[in-house]
Amino acid sequence: MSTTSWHCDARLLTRYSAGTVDAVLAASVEAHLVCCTRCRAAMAVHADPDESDRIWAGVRTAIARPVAPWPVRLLRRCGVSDEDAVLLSVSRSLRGPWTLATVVVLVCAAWASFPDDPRGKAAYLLVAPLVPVLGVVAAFASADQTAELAVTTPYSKARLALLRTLAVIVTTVPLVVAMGAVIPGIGWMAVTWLGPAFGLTLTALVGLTCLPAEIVGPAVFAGWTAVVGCAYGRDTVATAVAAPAQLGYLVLAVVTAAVLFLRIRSTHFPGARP
Amino acid sequence: MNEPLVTVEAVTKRYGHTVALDATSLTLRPGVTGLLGPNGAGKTTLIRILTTATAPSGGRVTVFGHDATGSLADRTEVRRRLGYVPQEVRFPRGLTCFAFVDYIAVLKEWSDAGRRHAEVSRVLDLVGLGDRATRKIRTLSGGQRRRLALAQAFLGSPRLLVLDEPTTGLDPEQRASLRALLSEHGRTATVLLATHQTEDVAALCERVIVVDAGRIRFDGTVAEFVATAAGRVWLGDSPLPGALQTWRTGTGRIRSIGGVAPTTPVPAVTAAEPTVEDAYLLMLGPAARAAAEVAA
Repeated sequence: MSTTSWHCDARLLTRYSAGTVDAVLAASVEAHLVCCTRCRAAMAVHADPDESDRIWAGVRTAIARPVAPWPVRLLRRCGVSDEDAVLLSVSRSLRGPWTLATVVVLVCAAWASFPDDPRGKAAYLLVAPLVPVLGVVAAFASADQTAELAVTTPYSKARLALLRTLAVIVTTVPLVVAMGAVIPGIGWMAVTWLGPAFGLTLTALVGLTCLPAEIVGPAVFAGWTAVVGCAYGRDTVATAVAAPAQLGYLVLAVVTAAVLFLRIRSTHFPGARP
Repeated sequence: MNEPLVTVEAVTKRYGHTVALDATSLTLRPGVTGLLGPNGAGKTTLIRILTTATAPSGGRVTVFGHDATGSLADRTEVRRRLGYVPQEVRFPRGLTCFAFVDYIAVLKEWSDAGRRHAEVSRVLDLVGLGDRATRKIRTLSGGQRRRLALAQAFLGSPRLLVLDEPTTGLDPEQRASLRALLSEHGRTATVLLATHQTEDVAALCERVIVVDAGRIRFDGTVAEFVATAAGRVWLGDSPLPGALQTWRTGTGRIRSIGGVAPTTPVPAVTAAEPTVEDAYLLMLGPAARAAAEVAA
């Protein structure tokens, strides 16, 4: 069909601009409009200038928008929502402490596999529960840099705090459990460290509601070192994660969870000191 | 548009035994208001209370009908209408300009990614950082970082904009751009600008509040503030006897402020047009304080 032997009537242009013509006819009209000045002029009446401005603004924004940082892209691919990915990407400077802690756990686990050396098991038990604590503390130390700004935004600080904590736990706990399970000689200690880990992580979160991360991290570390040190001094490292001790960690977890709930209710959030 | 949008009623803030704000009351309306005062006067404390960053020890703050010192729901409503630049903004490591403002935009509940990215681009353009959107923050100069801090405050064109020392580190051209931006924003929104730069107040603000030792020493128009120094500023070839403060100006003449007007003509000493700085120095300058202490 020649593009100049016919012209679009008003009805056709109306339907075309409304997007109600079929694909073949739309392509034909489009090709004709490119060549025909008269129909282009007629089409201008049907076109919504605001709509085309909006479309062009959208095109400009899409072109100008920088590519999201790789942590955001990775988190999105893992199914994390766009908003949560952006929020978590700001805590990514926890990568360093997290990697360091994981390597230390690996070394301790390897050490613990030597059956004649009880120091290896003690070192593993000392370090493993502190990995999530270190991750949480590092996440809040990093995010604390924007605390003054973040606290004046409407976003739920409780959700933000729990999101960061969850991210740390999800990325650290399975890895440490897997390492303990794979390396021989660790036995039940590969999972029993989870009791103190949750108790200590919740304690750290409560501490972060009123103290900076630089104080909370060393304080929790010192407390747990004292517990493991006492058990090691009595030549019974395993008692630090035995059933009675696990009950103690459970009580600690319940109490600190309750305190954390009350602190958050009274708007004292981890990492956002009033 | 002239009803008070921000009301501070008898607000007190104590840190231990130190009283940072002492039963302070004021109202803010649309327009740009300057907040002047020496270091430790209570400006930042007042700003942190207004922005819900800290709670007062007593008193009440109402912002757009919501109690900024009340329930979490009320404070959240205040935060939805707020843009804030703290005195010192620390940036998370490793982020680009776009990523940082995008992060704050998420915290400001811009959930739709497309609209959020368009808004982030808009505010970066607004402060002249559009072409540096993908640059790492650590590569920016001090002035550029300050502008980045300003960019996040303009997200969503907030009805209340609170800026603590926003022009620190900006060169004269950037300060002029910021003044243009703030004066435009102040046509419809309430802008509170805490600063040490008296020239910013003179160039930009319709109203000035002077705070000292946790109390409001002056609250009025800039013209009224300048008028407090009328007849107390002199230019001459030598310092005026009894002047509170004197300095040699760029033209080589001596500017004297305070003191007693000469009863008999002093050779080559003439009354000068006072400025905001003159009024400030007369009210809160070290010499004025010393004179007040002697008088007391």
